[in-house]
Amino acid sequence: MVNLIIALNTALIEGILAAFIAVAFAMLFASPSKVLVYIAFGGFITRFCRSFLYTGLHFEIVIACFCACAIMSLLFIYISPKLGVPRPVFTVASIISLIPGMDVYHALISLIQLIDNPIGTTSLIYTMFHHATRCFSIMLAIALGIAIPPLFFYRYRYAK
Amino acid sequence: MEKDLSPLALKAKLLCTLAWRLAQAGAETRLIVQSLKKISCALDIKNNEIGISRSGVIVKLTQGNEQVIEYKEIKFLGINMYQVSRLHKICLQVEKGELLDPKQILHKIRATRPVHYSKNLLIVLEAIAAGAFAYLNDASIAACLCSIIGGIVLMSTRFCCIKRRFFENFAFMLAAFLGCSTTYLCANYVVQLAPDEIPRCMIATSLILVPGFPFINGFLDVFKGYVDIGLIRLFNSLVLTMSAAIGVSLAILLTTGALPW
Repeated sequence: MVNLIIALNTALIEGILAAFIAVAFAMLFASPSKVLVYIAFGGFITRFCRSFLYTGLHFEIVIACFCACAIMSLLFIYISPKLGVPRPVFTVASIISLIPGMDVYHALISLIQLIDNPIGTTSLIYTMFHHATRCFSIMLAIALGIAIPPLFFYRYRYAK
Repeated sequence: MEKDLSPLALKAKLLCTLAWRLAQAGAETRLIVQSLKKISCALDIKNNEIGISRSGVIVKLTQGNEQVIEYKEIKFLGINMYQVSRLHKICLQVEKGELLDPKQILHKIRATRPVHYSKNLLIVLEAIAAGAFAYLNDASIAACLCSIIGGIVLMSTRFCCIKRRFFENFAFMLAAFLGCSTTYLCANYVVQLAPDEIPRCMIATSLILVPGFPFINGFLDVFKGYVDIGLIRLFNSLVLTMSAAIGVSLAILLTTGALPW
């Protein structure tokens, strides 16, 4: 129970920071000012869900990312038609805080060391592939998390 | 000029201009196609064929014996969500029947211009976002401050390069290199962070260069069946990511003393 409260607390702090990141990115891509509040909320929910599922409920990181993005996508399927603003305006900015930067870094460092240092090649290849695969999986989970929920709500595009 | 156009030609021009503007503002392909279909339906256009590719938009309308083909070249796939939202609002107005005169719709579409926030405000906000990224990657407050300083240099370089009309890829590379190097200098010589914490703030600085919109739009396009334009968007985001990675790698090589000379 104590662990769960600590995880909730961490998720809250991370969510608040993610809300700020989402707004900063939305402004970089010139999102309308009146939707920035919703984007902040989207960023908060996405990171909060991901952190709570990962640290609190011990979900696998890829599944946690997928669930967080799917929840956020579902939320904006409801909100965006009410505001008359296309969904990607909200969803793309909201997921930025989930980008796996450290995995990219580790993969990159392993690649550089692999070029420079022929000794210990096996462990470097393992590290590089491990982080690169993890990074790719998280990115795929994010994209699928955004793309899958609308399929349950919108009709096939060739329907008359 | 629209005075000389037949009603069908005016409608073709309207649809083509809308698709072209949406594409240049970075709208998802499905949104473009749906918007055109909504407007066609509202303006009672029955026989329409629409083609969208990376290079251009083509609209073919047929009514009785009259046939009109309109083409517009897409020079770049930019990103401006304000313009996308404005154009989407116009489509909703047309769909609801609040706006049905083709000349008026075309005028409204042409009147939408890309709007940007102040560059200085963006530099500050993105720099703080870099600090937030560092915190999310388990960095200390001192490391977050280094990321903020690096973020200011990175965003200033990016805007400066874009203003001077350098290639976007080069701007990304240079911005990542200068931003990460500045973060390293602050972390190592000013704040004197622990060696294992320096990479965290360096990579957090470069995270503000993530090409989120091309990546997600590309993936959504592929997922929804517009494979050709989706792959182009995905490759575009990949090239931008690679450019930033080259900049970061150079900064790492320089700061770790691993350069071959």
